[in-house]
Amino acid sequence: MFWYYFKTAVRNILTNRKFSMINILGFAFAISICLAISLFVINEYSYDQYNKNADQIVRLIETKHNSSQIDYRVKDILLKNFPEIQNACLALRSGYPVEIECQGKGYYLDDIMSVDNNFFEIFTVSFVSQPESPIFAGINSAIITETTAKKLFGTESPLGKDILVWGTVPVTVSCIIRDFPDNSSLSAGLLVNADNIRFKFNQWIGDSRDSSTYWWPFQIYLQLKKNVIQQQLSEKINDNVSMLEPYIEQAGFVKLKDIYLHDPTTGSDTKKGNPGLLNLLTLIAAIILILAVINYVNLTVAQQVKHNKDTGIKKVFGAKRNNVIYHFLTESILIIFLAFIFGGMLLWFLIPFYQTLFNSNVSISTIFQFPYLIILLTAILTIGLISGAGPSIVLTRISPVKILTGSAISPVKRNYLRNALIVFQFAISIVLIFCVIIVQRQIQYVKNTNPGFNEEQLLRLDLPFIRENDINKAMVLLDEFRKLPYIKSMSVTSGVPGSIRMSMGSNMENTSKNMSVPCLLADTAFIKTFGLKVIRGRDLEPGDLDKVCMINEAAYRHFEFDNLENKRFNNFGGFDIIGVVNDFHYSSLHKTIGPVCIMFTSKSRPSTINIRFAGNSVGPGMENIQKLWKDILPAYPFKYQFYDEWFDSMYRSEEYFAKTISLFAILAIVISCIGILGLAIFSSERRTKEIGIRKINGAKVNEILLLLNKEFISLVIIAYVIAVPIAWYAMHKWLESFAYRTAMNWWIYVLSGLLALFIALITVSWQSWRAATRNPVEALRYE
Amino acid sequence: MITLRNIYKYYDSKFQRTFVLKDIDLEISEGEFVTVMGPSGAGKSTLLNIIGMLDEPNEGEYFFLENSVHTINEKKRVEFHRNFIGFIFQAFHLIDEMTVYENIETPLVYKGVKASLRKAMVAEMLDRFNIVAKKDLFPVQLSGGQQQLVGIARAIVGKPKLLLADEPTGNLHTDQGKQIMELLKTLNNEGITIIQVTHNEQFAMYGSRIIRLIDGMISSDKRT
Repeated sequence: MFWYYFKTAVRNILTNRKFSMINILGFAFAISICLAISLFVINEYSYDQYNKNADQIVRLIETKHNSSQIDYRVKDILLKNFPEIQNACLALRSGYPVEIECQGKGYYLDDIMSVDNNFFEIFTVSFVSQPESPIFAGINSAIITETTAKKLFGTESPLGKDILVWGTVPVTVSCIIRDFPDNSSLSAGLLVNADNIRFKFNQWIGDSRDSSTYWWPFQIYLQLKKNVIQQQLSEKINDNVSMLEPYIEQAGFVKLKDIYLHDPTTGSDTKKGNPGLLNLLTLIAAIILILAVINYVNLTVAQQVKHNKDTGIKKVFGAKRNNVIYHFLTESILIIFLAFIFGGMLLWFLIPFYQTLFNSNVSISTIFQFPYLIILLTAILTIGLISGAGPSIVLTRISPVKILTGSAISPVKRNYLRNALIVFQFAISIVLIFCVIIVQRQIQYVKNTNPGFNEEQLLRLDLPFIRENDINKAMVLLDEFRKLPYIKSMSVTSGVPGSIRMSMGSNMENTSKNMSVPCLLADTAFIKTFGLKVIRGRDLEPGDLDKVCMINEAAYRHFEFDNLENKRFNNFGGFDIIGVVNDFHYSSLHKTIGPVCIMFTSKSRPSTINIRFAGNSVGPGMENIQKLWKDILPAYPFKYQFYDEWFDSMYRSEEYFAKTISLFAILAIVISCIGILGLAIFSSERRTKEIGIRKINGAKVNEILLLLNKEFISLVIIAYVIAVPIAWYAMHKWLESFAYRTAMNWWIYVLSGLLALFIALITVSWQSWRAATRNPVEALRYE
Repeated sequence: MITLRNIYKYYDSKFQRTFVLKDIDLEISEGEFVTVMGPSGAGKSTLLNIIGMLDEPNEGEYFFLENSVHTINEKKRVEFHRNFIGFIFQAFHLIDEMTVYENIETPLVYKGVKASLRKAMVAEMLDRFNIVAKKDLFPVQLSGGQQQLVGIARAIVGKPKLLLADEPTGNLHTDQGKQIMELLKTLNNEGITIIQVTHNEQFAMYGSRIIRLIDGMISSDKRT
């Protein structure tokens, strides 16, 4: 019996090539996207699972302050007092590029991590070279990954070689490990020993404060014994929390497996996923699949006349309704199966594209692993059943006499189900079109907004920590720069617009408005180099250095000043406020411009050289700068970025969002068009006779076109009415994350509606035109 | 075999009731070859469909092999279709996607006949109608007469007791029609009860009994 169903299904697919192709390709399209998204989501959820002890590993957190930064001394206290804890380790990632020197050359390493020996017992690390025991033999031992070894030493063996970290801390490579897997939330190119006091990162190098009273934050990972219930253990720890004072007020855990996606704490230095994005993608996958299923249902039901005849014959010759339903289900499952094969092939072709899109190393082989293959087969069956269910219910109810005797050809009733499905598809398309327009406009808006300073031809050159004996060289370099004719002006600062790391209490007299103000420490060329305007007060004068500061308009408003007389910023030695500069964006447009203080001082460690090029001299200017750097400071890494590019790059995640949503909007529209095309074919076939009669009685082609298209226009209008509030709400929510946003103008609403209508009409008219221009005699003879 | 009592079939429109069949009383015994004749709209096909259990009367009683059809359920009706009744249509109604062989096989599949037995039964039909060579062709590749042969083969492959033919020759040339009628005659001689609807006086004479319908009522019922 099954073979009979199968054979019939194959026959039907082969005979109705046009519809089968539309169905299979539509599905294949949708399925390749769903598979790609699934691969990405699976990959994101697989983070850290590769660790053999993954189920037992937790990270200790401070729940009262919601922080994962815990003083390293807590580790030993816990290990000593709580037998439930099998092992514990320290880990701390630098979280920012670290400058190192190796064989006379300077580099930035994206990540270095300081860990203790227990780390290798708790986490799964695979060694390339035989490790010593203990793994960190001394406090200056370091472990290097294969990739980093290749970057620093090329083909030479790195073992026993020296690396200078931060230009001050020498370490010796004692062991090579494989790179951390892509799906590890902890990863680094260089592992250094956390027992070395210099590698307790947040402690500034050379700090002389007493280590017994100072706070040394780390991430602490615990490996619990098997069968220990986390909840009970954390309660037990909290009952005895006094022994952890002053480091922890209330302890809690985050499972290792949750760290990547569901870490509630702040101050975590591990890689972080974006569960919101995963949810969005899953939603998109679901919607696309639903659209494809809707298409299938619509296209199948559209072939009603043809199906009805077969159903009638089968019923007359002894088929029960169930038999006919099985026919439909077999066919739909077969179609889905074929679509999965085509979809898989499509995915195989497009995988490099998806890898770029998701910025993730997703691999197609994941599908063929054990649980996923089962899930996949279940998915094929389920989608097949769901897709087949619609047509089965609609098309098998009919009584055979109605069909076979031809006395009552299928009643020309409106099919509400089908219309509802089409409306749903178009509503989604309109929402997506609207979102695409808004998102693109917002990105243009934030990119084109004047940041308040002149960002063109302005270079940010990162200044690494310069060792004592190289400081003179650095001074020479700066002087050489100043001599270059290509450079209009140059300012050395600590903190720059876009990255102000320091805030200080304002401590002003006679005001209740004191607050922690982000501070830029700069030399006196800052205002000129950035092209800021002094709106109030006076310009800088010789001798002002280390004595004065300027604030921005936002600060002026915040402190409710009427004038600048006797206003003083009482921190870092105290600075007289002599001027007010215009507001400028010192972070992305997600945030409103707040008060900022620019202190003119030479006492800070400079972090950046800002260079304003003279017109048209960027090319030769860059060349000279780089050459000078290599000549004078070869042991220090050379890293730069232009301000306009840098500020644009702050919206990378938004651009990613825009790209994703545009892509899926196009796909959703294409799939919807396939559906509406099917409906158009059906509609014009159903009305062949009507069209013929109308034409014989003198209807013009354009009148027939209008007649056929009217139905679809009204569907698009209904879809529009449903879509607009949804689109508005979604974009309203999204824009809320920006302090500065583009307006949702009336014309965007109109445009997205018209666009959808236009697309629908083009799709439909192709078929309508054929129907309208057909010779009426032929049409009537057919009937 | 078939007993119809006071069968009424009508359609209600807004203001009036249109009768298709009016008070039909009919008795057909096993082995008969009945021809139903009458002008268009007289209710011939409706009568045939009611007998074939494809349609239901609005009023009246219908007994088929001592079973009261007007009270049976869907399941039982399918059983009758599978085991006792075969259909032939004017438009042949073959399934376009299936070969000759598969079309003939269809009723056996639904009946649940085993594959090996099915093969033998279909082979027998192909043999009998001399269409062995055409068994792998599709309906569109056949002439009308050949299609109707396949239609008949399909109708009788399940060895029904009753064969219902709704204008079986309506779409055929006279020669082909004659062949088909000869075939029906032979089948009738072998014991199958046949009821046919036709407009053709000449073909009507193949029947052993001619019933004429006018406006939904039996106007004459004669044996030939």
